[in-house]
Amino acid sequence: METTSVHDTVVQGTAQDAADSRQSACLQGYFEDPFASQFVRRPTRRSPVVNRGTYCRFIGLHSILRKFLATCRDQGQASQIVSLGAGSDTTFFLLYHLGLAPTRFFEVDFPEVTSRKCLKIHQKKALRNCLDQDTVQVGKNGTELYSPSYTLLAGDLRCFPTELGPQLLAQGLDPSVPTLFLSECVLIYMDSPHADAIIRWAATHMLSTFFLTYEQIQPEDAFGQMMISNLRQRGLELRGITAYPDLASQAQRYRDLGWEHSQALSIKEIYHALPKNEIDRINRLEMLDELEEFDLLGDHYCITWAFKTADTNLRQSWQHIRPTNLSS
Amino acid sequence: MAFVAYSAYGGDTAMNPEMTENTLYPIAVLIDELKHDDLSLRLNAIRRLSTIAQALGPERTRSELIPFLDESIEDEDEILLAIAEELGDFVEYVGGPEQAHVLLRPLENLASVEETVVRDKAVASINKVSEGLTETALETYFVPMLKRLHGADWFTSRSSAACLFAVAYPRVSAALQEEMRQAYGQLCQDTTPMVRRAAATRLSEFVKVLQPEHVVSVAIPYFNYLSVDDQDSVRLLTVESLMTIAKALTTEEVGQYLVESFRSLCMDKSWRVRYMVAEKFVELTKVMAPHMSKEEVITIFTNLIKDVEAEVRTAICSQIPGFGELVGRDDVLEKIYPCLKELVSDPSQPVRSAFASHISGLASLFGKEATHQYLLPLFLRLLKDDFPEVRLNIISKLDKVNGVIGIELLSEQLLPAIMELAEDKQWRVRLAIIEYIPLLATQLGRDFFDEQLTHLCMSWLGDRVYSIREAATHNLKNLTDVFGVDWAKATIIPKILGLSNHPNYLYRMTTIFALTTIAPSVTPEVIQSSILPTLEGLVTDEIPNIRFNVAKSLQVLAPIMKQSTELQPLLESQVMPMLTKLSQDPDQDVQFYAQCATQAIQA
Amino acid sequence: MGSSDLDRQIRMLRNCEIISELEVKELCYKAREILIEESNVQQVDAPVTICGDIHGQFYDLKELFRVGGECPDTNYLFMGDFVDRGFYSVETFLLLLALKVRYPDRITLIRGNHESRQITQVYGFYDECLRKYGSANVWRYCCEIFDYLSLAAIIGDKIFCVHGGLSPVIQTVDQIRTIDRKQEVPHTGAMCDLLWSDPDDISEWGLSPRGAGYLFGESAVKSFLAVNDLDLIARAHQLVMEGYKLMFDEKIVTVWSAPNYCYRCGNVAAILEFDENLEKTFKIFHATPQEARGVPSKKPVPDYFL
Repeated sequence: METTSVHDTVVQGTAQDAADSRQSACLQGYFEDPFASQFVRRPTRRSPVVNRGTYCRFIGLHSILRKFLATCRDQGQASQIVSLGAGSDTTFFLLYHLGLAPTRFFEVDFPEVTSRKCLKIHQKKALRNCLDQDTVQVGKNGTELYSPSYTLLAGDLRCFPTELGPQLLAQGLDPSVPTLFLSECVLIYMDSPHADAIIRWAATHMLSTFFLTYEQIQPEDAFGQMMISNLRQRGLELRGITAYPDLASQAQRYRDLGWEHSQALSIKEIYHALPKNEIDRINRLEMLDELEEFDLLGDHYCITWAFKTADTNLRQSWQHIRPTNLSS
Repeated sequence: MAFVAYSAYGGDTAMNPEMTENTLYPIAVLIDELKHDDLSLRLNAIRRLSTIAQALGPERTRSELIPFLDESIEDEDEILLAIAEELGDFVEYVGGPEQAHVLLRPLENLASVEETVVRDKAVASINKVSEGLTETALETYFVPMLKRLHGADWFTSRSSAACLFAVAYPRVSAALQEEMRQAYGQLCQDTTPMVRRAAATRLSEFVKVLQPEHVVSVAIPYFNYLSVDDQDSVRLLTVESLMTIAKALTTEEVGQYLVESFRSLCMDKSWRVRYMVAEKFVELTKVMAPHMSKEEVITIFTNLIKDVEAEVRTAICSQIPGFGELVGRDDVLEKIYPCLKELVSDPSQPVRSAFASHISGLASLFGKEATHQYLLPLFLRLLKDDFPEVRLNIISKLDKVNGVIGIELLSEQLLPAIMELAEDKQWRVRLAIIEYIPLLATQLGRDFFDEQLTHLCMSWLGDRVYSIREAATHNLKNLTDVFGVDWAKATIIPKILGLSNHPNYLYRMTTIFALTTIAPSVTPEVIQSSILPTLEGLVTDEIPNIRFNVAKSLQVLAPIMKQSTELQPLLESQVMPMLTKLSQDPDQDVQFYAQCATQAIQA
Repeated sequence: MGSSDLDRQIRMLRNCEIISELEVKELCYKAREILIEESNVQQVDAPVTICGDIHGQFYDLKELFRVGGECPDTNYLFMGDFVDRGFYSVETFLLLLALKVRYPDRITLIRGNHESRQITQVYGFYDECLRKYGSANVWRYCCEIFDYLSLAAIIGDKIFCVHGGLSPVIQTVDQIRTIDRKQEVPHTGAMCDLLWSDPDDISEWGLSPRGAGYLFGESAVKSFLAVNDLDLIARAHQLVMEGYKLMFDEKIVTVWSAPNYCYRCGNVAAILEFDENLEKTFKIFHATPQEARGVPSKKPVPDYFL
């Protein structure tokens, strides 16, 4: 292929890979995301272990995210979400569809990725309809998209504090509004000083802020070693994994970088803490024979959340946020 | 549109008159299949588009089929890919080069879709079709298309545009050429890295068609934008263009315009770029060398060897022998060797592995003494590496070193390490050592070998891993060929026979394998006095696997015995009774192999 | 089908080349004639080397043979789960089946929970057949054969081999012998349990998180061994990172023979050799190095969450 490079393929690959996995889990009925299909060319069927992991990732992140939005709503406050390295994520569209969208939703990613997303939004009616079409503007040669509710910005996350951060503020990110930063398998691809700078920036620039991260851990055991070597074969380096290799260091990371509260759970823990009726439901969707493998996989991914706020009411409710079933 | 309404059974009179009634039906079916719901049927029809076009004739192909295809843009990527490919060979079906421009419209659309594979194929087809276009057609149809792609909102079209400059440039007016040179510059500075990458990738071929006076004034500035692009994925592509542009320039111009870029690429802040440089370092240096001092080139090389990124160090390892040739032994020893020494203990296993594969390539340059003095110590260290792959890479390249310093020196130095590896936990490492043994044997001579290695060779017969036991038997045959039958009789055969009483059947089996394998290399007397009696003893073994392997062994022995006047009579007197017994065995596999052997003897 | 045809097919399959659909049909026909004669609990003589799950990891099966020796020279007992997950279930199962037809006394195949119509449609064997043959016929032939595979084996009257484990409704080996095994693996009952259960640190019986079979504890194992005058239970079914795992005073052993399971787990694999005196030796092996897999085999790309 002549117009692509190794790097291009790798970057797109992770976004596409995540979209394919999400669509696969949706098709099997693990959760509902009517927009999952919009970013997938042809449905791929993932193995049950991967579907179940994708489901736990979705449930873990969305249950926290929606509780964050609910607490803001309950207190009559506006809310913002900044999705870092958003790739082909559908969160904004899904929240909009459910009537849960925050006041403003920002996505940032490499221009490779954002230009594709702009093109998709331009092409797909289902996505376009989630935006007020009279107000949508495309900019920077099709790499950025601006609208009052949803903003897509292009840039390099490694230069976040000097470039993307100020750009976000310029595009209307309001430091006084409670803001959740979402990063799914993003920070880990950067050298940890770059990633830490983003986490620190969020803590220092936002008044009330929440950070939600999903990424790999446990690089040292046999499964972890194989994971690193397999991903390296695909050109993906988990540059940040050694700095924060386990649940304890993941949680500590945020406290060290200026956050007041933080917690981390593995995907395996999140799965085993699901309510029994929910486990029964997904057991009926698809036979999962590979329990040992699922636990191994689930041990190597974690969800970490942290917050910092001067608002006692928010603190009160944020302290109790846990990843659980969406309906509870 | 007429074509869409075309009926499968219409018997259209405008049909190509050469088509007979018989071929009409399948064509009609294919046309229906073009619109079929089933993807595989549609794909099949697209794959036979030329047949349909032939049947329709050029005029209807142009007026109906092409517009129809143009409307298929919403189809699956697989279909689009197939259309893009087929249209590249469609010139003759639309009426030859004069009409070929009608193909540009659908291809232009395909060159704008999201899927890269489809775009690339469409671009390739546009280039193919355009070769035959007249100059007027180029200016009337091709250039406007290029302008549309170039000015489009989406990166997809602009990326494709970058791929279409070279084919048209030499054949358009000077004014358009001027415009095209300008336009290419815009692509090199596009906001999206994808477009800049396309421009960087295609820069080489554009340079090739530029008039010499424009290479310096146009290509060099464009190359300069790209080589300092803020995206490493763009910069790394310029490593390739560096070579092409250098070829289009005079030596002086290379010095004037490119050496500086080469220097900065070598020190690029992104390891991916340095990796690209490292991979092609010898080739690049050959072009740049006239304009740089040897010291500088060596400094760059050693910097890459000491690079912070393991991938870069791995890549530069492959350049060590070639670079050594380029700068000569003295400089390698004085200036590079100190860094090479460090690679032995590099923290990255892939680096040590690559180093182990390539370091022996220096032996011929170094010559006997320097290899002994400088390289052997490195080998010894690498042979003790924790990772089996590193050890394997050294062992499997040792023959290169043999030629330079001679096996004696090598074995003297390496023997202790070899003895250790002979018991390596990884069986593939043990296997690599076994394969190296016959070579050692030829060089070491019998006495030395017996003293040091015979014991080892025998111990492999009892290895836990089957493949090692098997390799051990072949090794014994090879050693017998080297040292002669008397040696085998005195040294190894008694030990093999000893294994025939082993309590584990897998080892008794090894006895049979070993005896069978060495049989062609020993004297009739050994077969008669050692091999046959041992096999005879195993005819009544409790384990059927042993018994049928006796039969298999006898089948191998038969042709050998037939050729010997001493052994020939034994076939009847000793072998046949054994086989008769075995063919009455209760186990069906024993019976089967006994019958096979009997037939072989009687044949 | 003459033995020379069969030998040719074995050669092809050993090279990871598939045989024709018609040849598969004939092979399955022959296999059925052999398997139909075998008991639910097949008696196997020592010496024999026992193997756990393979899961279509063909190149690792080749590695297994490199370490353990080729069939028929070495006797083998494979404890099921030949198919699914890996990329070469077709080649793996057909090779083992061809060896079974060619050397019925040298190789024993018992059924795993993946040798089932339902499971193979989820875990890859069905899709692989469709991809490699363009129709589901080969999958159908193979599924018919699955129904004829033995449920368990006993080596030298002392070692009970089964894919999963014990069942609360089974006390004696004779009870297993009375099962009508020629059917799809049921969702409950003795036959299902034998293929699905797992040992666990509980006393007797527990519910399995897999949704089929049971968890069985030390006392269940010991009483089964005592009642049936057996020394050891050997089983597969569960991934063990170290290749094998002994539990309950070495009364039960799990053997796992798929190294780097799913090209992702990073585990080593094991086989267990019993010599003629039932002395046991575990042999550990690793995944076949990429360069030893031969040219056409593409480096597998396992899924992660990215």
